[in-house]
Amino acid sequence: MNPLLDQFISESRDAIQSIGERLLQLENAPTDHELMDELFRLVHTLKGNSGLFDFPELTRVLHGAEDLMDAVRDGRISYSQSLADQLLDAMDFVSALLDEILRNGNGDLPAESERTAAALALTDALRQLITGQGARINPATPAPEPAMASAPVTTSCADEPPASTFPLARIPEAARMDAYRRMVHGQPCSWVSYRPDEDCFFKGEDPFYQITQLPTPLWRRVSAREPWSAPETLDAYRCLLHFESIIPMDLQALTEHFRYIPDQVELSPLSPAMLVMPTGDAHDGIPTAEYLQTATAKLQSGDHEGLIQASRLLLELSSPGLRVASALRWLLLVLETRPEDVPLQQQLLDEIRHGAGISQGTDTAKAAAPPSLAASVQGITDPIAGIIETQAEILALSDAPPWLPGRLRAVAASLRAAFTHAGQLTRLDGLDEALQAALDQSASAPLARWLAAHALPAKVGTDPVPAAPPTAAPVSPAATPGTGNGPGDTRKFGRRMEDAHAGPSAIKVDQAKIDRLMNLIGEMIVAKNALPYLAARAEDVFGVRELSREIKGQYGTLNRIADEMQDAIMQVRLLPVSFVFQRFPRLVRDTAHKLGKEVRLVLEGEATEADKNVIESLADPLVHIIRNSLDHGLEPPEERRAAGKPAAGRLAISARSESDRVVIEITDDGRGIDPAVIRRKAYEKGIIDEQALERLTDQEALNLIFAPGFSTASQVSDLSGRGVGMDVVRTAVARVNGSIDLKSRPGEGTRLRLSLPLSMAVTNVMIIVSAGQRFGVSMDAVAETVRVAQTDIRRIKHRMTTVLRGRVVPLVALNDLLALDEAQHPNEDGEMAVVVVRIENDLLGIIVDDCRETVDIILKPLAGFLGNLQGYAGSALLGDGSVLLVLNPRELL
Amino acid sequence: MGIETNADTLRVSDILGVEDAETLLDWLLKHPGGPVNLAACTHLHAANLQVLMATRPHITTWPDDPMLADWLRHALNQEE
Repeated sequence: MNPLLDQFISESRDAIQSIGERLLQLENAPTDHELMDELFRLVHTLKGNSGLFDFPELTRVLHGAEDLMDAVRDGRISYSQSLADQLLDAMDFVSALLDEILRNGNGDLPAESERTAAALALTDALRQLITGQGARINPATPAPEPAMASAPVTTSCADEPPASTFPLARIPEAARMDAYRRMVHGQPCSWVSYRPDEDCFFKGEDPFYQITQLPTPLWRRVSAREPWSAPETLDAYRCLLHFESIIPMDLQALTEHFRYIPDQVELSPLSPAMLVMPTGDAHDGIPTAEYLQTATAKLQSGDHEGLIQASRLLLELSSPGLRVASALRWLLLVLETRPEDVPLQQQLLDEIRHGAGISQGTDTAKAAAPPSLAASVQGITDPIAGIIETQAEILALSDAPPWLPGRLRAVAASLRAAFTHAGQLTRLDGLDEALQAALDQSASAPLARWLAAHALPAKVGTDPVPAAPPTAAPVSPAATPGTGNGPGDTRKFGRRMEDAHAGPSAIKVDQAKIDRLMNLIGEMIVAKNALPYLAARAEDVFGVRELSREIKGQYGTLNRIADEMQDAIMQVRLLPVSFVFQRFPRLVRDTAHKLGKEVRLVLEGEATEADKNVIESLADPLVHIIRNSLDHGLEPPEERRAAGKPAAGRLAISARSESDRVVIEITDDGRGIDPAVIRRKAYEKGIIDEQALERLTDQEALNLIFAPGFSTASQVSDLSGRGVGMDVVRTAVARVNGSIDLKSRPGEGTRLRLSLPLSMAVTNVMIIVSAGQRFGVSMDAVAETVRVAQTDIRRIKHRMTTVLRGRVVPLVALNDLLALDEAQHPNEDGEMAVVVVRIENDLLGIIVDDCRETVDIILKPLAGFLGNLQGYAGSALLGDGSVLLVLNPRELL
Repeated sequence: MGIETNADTLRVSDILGVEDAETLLDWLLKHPGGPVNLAACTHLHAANLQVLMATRPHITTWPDDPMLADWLRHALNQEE
């Protein structure tokens, strides 16, 4: 799943949560405009966001909710309980969709008729609130308000039998027979009625294209919804088309095809039986009575051949345009294709009988036909029957899982509920016995036998289960008969969010809470560090060696757990560098534009993670560096072309992890930095003297740009070079224990390399002793510790130096640096302890009295009046309760 | 693309876009009844279909594309 979608889902969940809260608050304060505005804004944002993705159902429902909230906000309608219910339902639906998207994993939401129907119903309900409450008008009459006119008016098929919603009887018999044959051969066919919106041309839709992209229809009709006006007054851009067709496609595929305009189409799957509909003129004088007698007898005795022959005979006698002929043709077709479908055949015979008895007009005949067929459809899709069938399927499973008893009980419970619901309690006789037998035998068979004997025949037989009222209830539009999904599995939608609560995979936590955790783990580390002291005391003071060893053992365990815990908390605080990087494309674009330069920005390793504080501290230095690169580094296009470079400069920012540090490199292919220019400038500004001018290497000269007060730009632009030079950058980076270095070649470009710790929460320091006090020095700065014989210390111009591995290292005494009036003590062999620290790229030896162990500490910056003290990085609490001052060698000098 | 008129016949080639509906209607108003030649037409926007349905010009040649021809015949002739 892509990060954008991830974010969308998590944000949407938050929004839905807030919407729910606001709605409940509004119940107490229904006139609170601020709350309404807030609510509108939330819904609006949610809708806008959903538009980024291909989830038309989601957007549709949210759009409806937005319109409703807009009306509420404008005071067109007032807040009410039912409005809140409707909105909450909509949000539940959205939430269910989000769950589904999450479950699918790949960010897809395949079209599904049930879902589309649910979305439509919800949207309709929302819109009806706007219009219904606004003017109290009958929804059937055209609304005077323009808002209503633009609202999609859909014919809800929920409360009408499917046969009456589309005029199958109008379709010529040949086309219906063709469709019938195809369906019998397994080709699903669907009814499509497509009424494009009147203003659909203005939305860029082409209904004709939409419909011609479908497979060749078995039958089609293109008509106008109202008579065309005279050519002179014709408005070609007001769409009045109406397409009706039978398409050889299943409902699923069609729903997908029309998924963006579900409110403009009516789709229904067709079943063969629905098409069997004799049409034609009424008849008289045809000797049907005798035929019916023989036919019924043959049908009951199962004599197909006889029935076919008799029917053919009568068909030859009848005029083909007659209704009876049509019925006979259908009968022959059904006999040929589905000889086992006795009820349907019987129905056709009844049809002939009715036609013969009363002289019916074609219109009434047409009207009479659908209900009888609808009843049979009803019988098949009856929810109770569906449930029973499903139970039968479950019982037919041949496996014997460990949970078989549970399954059997569930089946029995379902059956009991189904029959009770249908008011057929008598049918339940023997169910308990069968269940008991099944449980005793650990087999489904007894229950299956009971079901077969009691329930199944009745289902399709002459005693249809009375239509259960809940199936027609509007709460579950998805259960519309004829949508293809058995109403038995009316699932997910309409169900409340709480019923299927899916835990969100991410939670938002206040940063203060994580900081607190961080502090707590810090204290724990300090407390843990007290154990070695305790062990030492146990041994030295109380002389219990065993105890000392045990304490050390315990310490080892604690140490490991504390380390892991610390690591885990660090993980929580990690942020990807993209957090800072994401603002660069815009920054680079705008800056380059202002400078008239062409720049190609390349970002790499945006997923590299580091502690939140480190990442945040990076933002300003990086912005400064990038501005410098754009302003001073990259040349204008003409200059670049003249230098044989591509006109567009390349600015690359890359991040990567290197052991426990994050390395960020900013590289440009600009004009580079000329050491000679730097030297001269530094000399002019009095940063270096004449001797240094000669002595400095090129690299050293480059490093001068980090010196305070140095700025190479001869002209102060409003972008960079405002006097705050690179020294600010270096200080900011140093503040988070980072380092910065610069490489540049004139004419080829510049590379700045920032190295930062992954985390700055726990610092590893070495404890040193001087003048009887303990100090800490960050291990990051320590290059090595050595013992230097006093005789090896030389004085050059009052400065102490020594030679370490062939290199002259300046030495300073810590007591001098701290202005402690005491000399450093050598050890018994007359050697001085020296901590060699690295400051930038130079080594410096600090003479101390002794070097001790290294410890992990939580460094707290000095606060309050001590905050201004130079030379200290901060303080920390040691395991034995004492305070350790941690030195900052750079500031000491 | 679009509409080409010569010797009192309107010839459609390739695709008739939504803007062409106006041109088509204008021409048909001046030449009621057509004739219109659709042989080279591959698709026409629904707005054009409306114009054709409302004005019922004489179609001299149906599109070469059988699918489109079928649809247009159904729409314009209402043959069942």
